[in-house]
Formats: sequence, C-alpha cells, structure tokens
Amino acid sequence: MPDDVIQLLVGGLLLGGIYGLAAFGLSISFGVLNVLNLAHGEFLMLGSLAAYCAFVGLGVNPFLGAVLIIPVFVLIGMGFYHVLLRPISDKPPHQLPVASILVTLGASLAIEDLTAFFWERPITGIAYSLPPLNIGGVVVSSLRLLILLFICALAVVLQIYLKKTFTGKAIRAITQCRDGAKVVGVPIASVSAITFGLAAALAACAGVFYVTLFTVTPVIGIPLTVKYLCVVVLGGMGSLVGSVVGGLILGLAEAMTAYYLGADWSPCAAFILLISILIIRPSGLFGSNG
Amino acid sequence: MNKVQHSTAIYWSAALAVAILAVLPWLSVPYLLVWIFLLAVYLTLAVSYDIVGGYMGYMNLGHSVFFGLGAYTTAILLNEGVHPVLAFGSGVVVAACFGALVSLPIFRLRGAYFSLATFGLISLMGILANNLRNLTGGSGGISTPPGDHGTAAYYLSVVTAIATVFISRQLARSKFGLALFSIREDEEAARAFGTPTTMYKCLALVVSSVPASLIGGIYVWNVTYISPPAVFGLEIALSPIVMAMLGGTGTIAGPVIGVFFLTLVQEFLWTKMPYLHLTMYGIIMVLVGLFMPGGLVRTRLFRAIRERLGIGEKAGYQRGN
Amino acid sequence: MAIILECQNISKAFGGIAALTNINLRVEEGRILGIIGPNGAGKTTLFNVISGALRPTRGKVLFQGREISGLGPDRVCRLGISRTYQLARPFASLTALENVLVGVCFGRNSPPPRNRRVDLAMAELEFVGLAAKADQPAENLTLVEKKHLEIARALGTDPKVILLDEVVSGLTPSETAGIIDTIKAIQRRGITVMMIEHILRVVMELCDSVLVLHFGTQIAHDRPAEVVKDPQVIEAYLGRGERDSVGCRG
Repeated sequence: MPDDVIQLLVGGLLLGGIYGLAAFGLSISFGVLNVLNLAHGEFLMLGSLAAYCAFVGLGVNPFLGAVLIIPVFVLIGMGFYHVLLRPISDKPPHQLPVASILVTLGASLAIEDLTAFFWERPITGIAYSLPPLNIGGVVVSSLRLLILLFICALAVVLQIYLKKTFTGKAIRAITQCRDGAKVVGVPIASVSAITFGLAAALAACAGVFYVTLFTVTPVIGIPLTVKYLCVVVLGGMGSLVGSVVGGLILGLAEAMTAYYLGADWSPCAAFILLISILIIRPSGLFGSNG
Repeated sequence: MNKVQHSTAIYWSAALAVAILAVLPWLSVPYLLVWIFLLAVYLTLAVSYDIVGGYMGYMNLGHSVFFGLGAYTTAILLNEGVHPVLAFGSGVVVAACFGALVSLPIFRLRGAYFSLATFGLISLMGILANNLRNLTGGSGGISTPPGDHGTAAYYLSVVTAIATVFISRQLARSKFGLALFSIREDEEAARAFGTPTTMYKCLALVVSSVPASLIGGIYVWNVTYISPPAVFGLEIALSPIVMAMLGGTGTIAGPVIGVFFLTLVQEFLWTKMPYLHLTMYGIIMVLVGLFMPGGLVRTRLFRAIRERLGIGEKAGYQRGN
Repeated sequence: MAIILECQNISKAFGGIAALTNINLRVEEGRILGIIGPNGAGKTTLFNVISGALRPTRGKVLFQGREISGLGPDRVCRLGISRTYQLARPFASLTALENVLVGVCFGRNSPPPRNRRVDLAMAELEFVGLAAKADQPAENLTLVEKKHLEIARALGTDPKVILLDEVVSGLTPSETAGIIDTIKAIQRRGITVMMIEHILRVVMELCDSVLVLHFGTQIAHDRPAEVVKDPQVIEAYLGRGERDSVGCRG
C-alpha cells in the first residue's frame, strides 16, 4: 500500500477514535438524562486547554495528562449537572426541549466566549513528539499509534466499567428503562450526575489527544458537537461499539475528504454523512430505533 | 373601560404607530431608520422561525440558513444587473426549494437531534459560501451595486415584518395552524387522527423560509455588502431564536415582545460593555431556560397585564373560521 | 350482517419477540367486539396493526373487503377506522374543541367545508357531555373527562369502526356506567366497536362477541357467555380452578 494511504488511514482512524470517545460520552449522557447536551464539545475544548497548560506549564506529557484530567472533569461535569441540568429535569415534557436547548446552548456560548476573552491566541498543538516507528518498511508516527492504543484501552476499561460495576449497570438500566430503574430503587439523580461527569471526562480526554494533533481555538466546541451528533446517528444511540464504529467512519471520511478535496471541505463530510444515513437508514448502523 | 373600548383603544394606538412609522423618513432621523430596519429584520426572522419552532415544536436552529440563502442569491443576481424585485423573488424561490428538499431527510430527526442537525446546516452553508469563491466571493464577501436604498429598504422591511406577523396570526387561527399544533403536541396521535404530518412539516418549513429569505434579500440590497459570518454566523442565527424564546415560543405575541425587549436590552448593555456579548446572550439563555422557558408572555405578571388591558389572543383555532 | 373488518393470519414480531401470532378474526358491522387477555397478550399491538400504526410482519388487514395493512395511520383513519389510547393522550395544550377539530379537519373521508367544522366538533363534544368544557385546555380536564374527550376526538373523524383501548380503566363505578352508556349510544349510531377491556362485567354487558388473546395467540373467539366457560380461557386468564369467579376488577 502506498505510504500516504497508510498515513491517511492511521490519521483517519485516530481522528475517528477521538470522535468516538467523545461521542460515546454524549450518547450515555443522553441515555440517562434524556437531554442532548449541546455544550458537550466545550468539554473537549476545555480538556485541550487543560492539557496544553499542563504540558507547557508543568511539562506533563499528554498521556499522563489524560489520566489526571479524568477526575477533574468528572467533578466539573457533575457540577455542571447539578447547577444547570438537574433543575430542568422536572420540567413538564412540553417545556423540557426548549429549556434544555436554551440552557445547554447558552452555557456553550458563555463558555466559548469567556474562553475566547481570556485566551487570545489559538493553541497550535502540543509539541510532544516521539521517535517514529518503522513497521515493515513504513514509517508511522509512534505518537499516533500510542494514542490509538490508549483510546482502545480506555474503551475496554469503559466497557468493563459499564458491565461489571454497580454504577455502570445503573447507567445501563436507566438508559434502557427509566421507570423500571426507578422502581427497583436506582438513585436517578446521583447516577445522572456521575454519568454526566463521566461524559465530560471522556470528552476532555478526547480533547487531550485532539490538541496533540490539531490546532484548538475556543470556537471549535459547537461544530464538534454537531460531529458527535453525526457519529451518534451513524452508530446508533447508546452503543459503545456503535459510537466507535461511527467515529471511525467519520474520521476516515474526513481524512479522505481533506486529502482529495482539501482541508476546506472536510467539515462537510460530517454533514453529508448525516444526511445520507438519515435517508438510507435512520436508526443508525447499530441502533434499534430512530 | 370595558373590553370593547379597550380593543378600539388598541387598534387606534396601532394605527397611530403605523402612521408614525410611515412618516418617519421625513423627520431626518437616519439613525432611527437604521435601528427600525434592524428591528424589522429580527422581527421577521423571529416570527417566521416560530412557525416551525413554536407552532410545530421543531426547533429549527438553522432558520437563518434561509436568510443567508436569500441574501446571497439576491446579491449574486443584483450584481448581474437583475431588477431588485426579481432578485428578491429569486432568493425566496431558492430558499423555498432548499427547504422543501432538506425537509425530507431532516424531519426524520426529532427534538434536540433535529435542532443540532439544523444548526449544523448553518456551518455547512457557511463553508460552502467560503469555498465556492467564484460564485460567492469567498471569505471576502460579496458587494452589490451601491445606491442609497435606505428609505425604500426601511419601508420594505417594515411592511415585510408586519406582513409576517399577520401571516403568523392567520396561520395560528386556521386549519394549517391546527395541524402544526397537533404535530407539536403528539405527532403520532396527530397522524392517527388523519393529519398528513409529512406534508405539513415540509409545508411549514417552506412557509417559514419565505419571509426569512425575503428579508435577507432586502438586507443585502440595503447594506450592499455581506460575508459568510454576517449571514451564516452565530449571531444572526441565534438572536432571533433567543428573542422568540424569551418572548414566548408558540404564541403570536411572544416573538414580537421578545424582539422588542431584547433589542432594547441589547442597546442598553452593548453600549455599556463592548465585550462578552455572546456570554451575556448565553447567560440570558440559561436564565430563561432555568426559570421561564415558556417566555415572558407566559409569566404571571404578563398575564395579569393582559387581563387588565383586555387584549391578547391565544394562538388557536378561531371559531369564526 | 356484513363483515366490515377482517384480520387474516396477522402476525407481528419485534426483533425476536412474537407479539402476535396468526390472529384471525372477522368483525360484523354494527356489532361490539371485546378483546380480553392478560397484560402483555398483544391486545394493544393488535389495535396498532389494525389502525395502521404498525405494519404486520405477516398477514393482512381487510377493511370493507379492501386491504389496508401497510397504509399509514392517517390514511386508515380517513378510510374510517379511529381509535382511543389506553393512557389518555389528548393534545394537552389544545382546547377540547381543538382536539376534536383535528380529527374533523383531517381525519374524515372528505374534509368538511370551513363553516361546518366547528359544528361537527361541537356535536361530538355534546354527544360525550363535554360541550361546556369546549374551550378548556385538555390538560386541565379530569381523567374521566379526558377519556370522554378521547372518544369525542375519535368520533370526530366520522369513523365506521372505533377501537377503544381500555376506556374504563381508572374510573369509578359510576363513571364506568357513564362510559358504558356512551358506548351503547355509539353502537346506536351504526358504528362498529372493538374494545380492549380488563373488566369482565363491562365486557359481558356490552359485547356481542369476545376475542381472547394469550401471549399473542387467540385462544377463543365466541359469545361472552361461551368464552367464560372455555377451559383454556379460564386457565390462562382467570387462573386454574377459578371457573366460578367471573369477578369484577373495578
């Protein structure tokens, strides 16, 4: 296989893994809260910011940073939930959509704007590099491979968490049947808070890796959330495998678009994919209902 | 005063307001004309948004796509020497066709999914506007033939705004409006009782696209220059929607009141603090979402005022119809 | 009597779960058919298939001799089949009148002219006794009023067949008696009624024939008096050795 195609594949897979990770966070937060968090992309952006500061200020490498960031953002996510999302969760069903969009979009705008106010210049990525690997005659960036492995490991840990721990099972229970979960005594509010914290942490992790590869500006949040939506629709809501696969498809599509048509056009890939899936198979590749 | 006398008082006040608006250009207050022009633009966008967002319950965050399409189409045609009226009309046709086409896939999404996807549509259009440089002038924007259209644009915009409010009101009292409300309340049940939901969703989107694209054309004709961020940006996308929600989505008066209220607040705040506009917007949105997602018109204070003045009709099917 | 509705070998599966298997029934015009069975027997699924909300996995639904399986719910409604819901779900923020108007404007075979719409809707509201509440938002109505509104809404579409899904659940005995009278009045209008019901007293009083479902299959289809003596029905629905307790669960 030609060299640049491999680079393309790796780049696409990597991007896809990052998307998939963050999109899964969005997916479980929606499953548990029944609110689509439009501010989700902001957690990625803030994660990137935090990673950058940690790297530049304290010399912390991205992988360590990713691990450290998780608890911090779990707390931030839980705070976000308690302040903004819990109060609207008892609104009547015909007010809930308006309220949730107002609150999450408003939060998103405020976060972006405030960040832009305090941070004038774009973050041009973390200059963290490792010596490249030579696999069967092809030069591959070991940094990228390592990130890919890390993300895979994270996905495995997540899957174990969801299947084996009490909280993980509680999350799945609420997602599948909210009323049933209530009846058997699952504490909805606290599980919701933890879920949201988890979702935020996943997005932030994704952000750490994102900034090692791309430039980050304060305004990437909202377009990213749209991309996560694309991943979730592609892969089906609530499915980890679906989010990963959806993310990979999107990542590859974007990488190919950027390669063949130029970077200007790559953001379109998400949308074209979204519209196509909606026309062909609205329930997504792994989902059960639209 | 009893209710009948109240109503006549309201109608006379409205007539007076219209008369003042009509003669304003002769009073040498150009700043006021510009201000009212912008108000009319926001009003048209907010009210037309609410047809799909409030009456039908599908929050189309991408509503300003029609505005941008109308503006760019008109600009391109004006540069080719096409007569303004024809240019405006073409903008409307393009936007309406776009609405009809996109309604097919996009209405398969519901709720926040729908909102996010339509919101993404704006970024897509923005990218297209940036990349199709030969057609749209790219990121540098597009200029149209200069000329002092201030007064004509003022009249056109005010008439468009008033007409849009009128259309919205008539819609709300008609069978069409009933269909939209039933879709909002319970789409599945609406279908079960005969409402052809697919058709009405498409129609509603197309109807909402008309005033938005028209005012987009008038806008570019007046300011003679637009660029992707101006017509496909966050500000023009969200302001009318926030105004409609703040005032009260799903009502006739709500978007109108929201536009006036927020524009005044903006005038006041923006001059005091030249930064962090979006943050203030965001905070307003959060507060409205947390404490009064129904908007101003559904607060007790407003209802009390309405009782006292004897005005205000509910958006609903009118018996006389 | 003519057969107005027919189900031929209707089966409906969701993924691997068979909700309905080989349902065969024929409904005579102007009669009242009761459908009973334990929870989860597939009764509402059957209604969903008949009304067009779901496509059958196999089999056909025939209305007045014409196949309607696979037509959308709006078309089926316009052809003349309408329904109520088990958990009353009127259009909450619309008034009672507007609720019925939806059906009047969109659910009839031929849409009535503008000046007739309100009259037609008010007529149905009067029929169920809700005329005084015409301008009340549906969400402000009491449970029994909402149930009546559901019936009015269904009647507004000028149906030939009406599907009533547990209309009396949650009602007091006197409210139940009121609904029973309404259903009898519906029958007098010439409308065929199919009703899902748990309360056997109601079924015995109203129905000309009864269909019994159990785990998605039909285990009996006969006159009420015969059905309650059927040993299969007793075992499945009423419990073993309970053949004498044709009880009331009101």
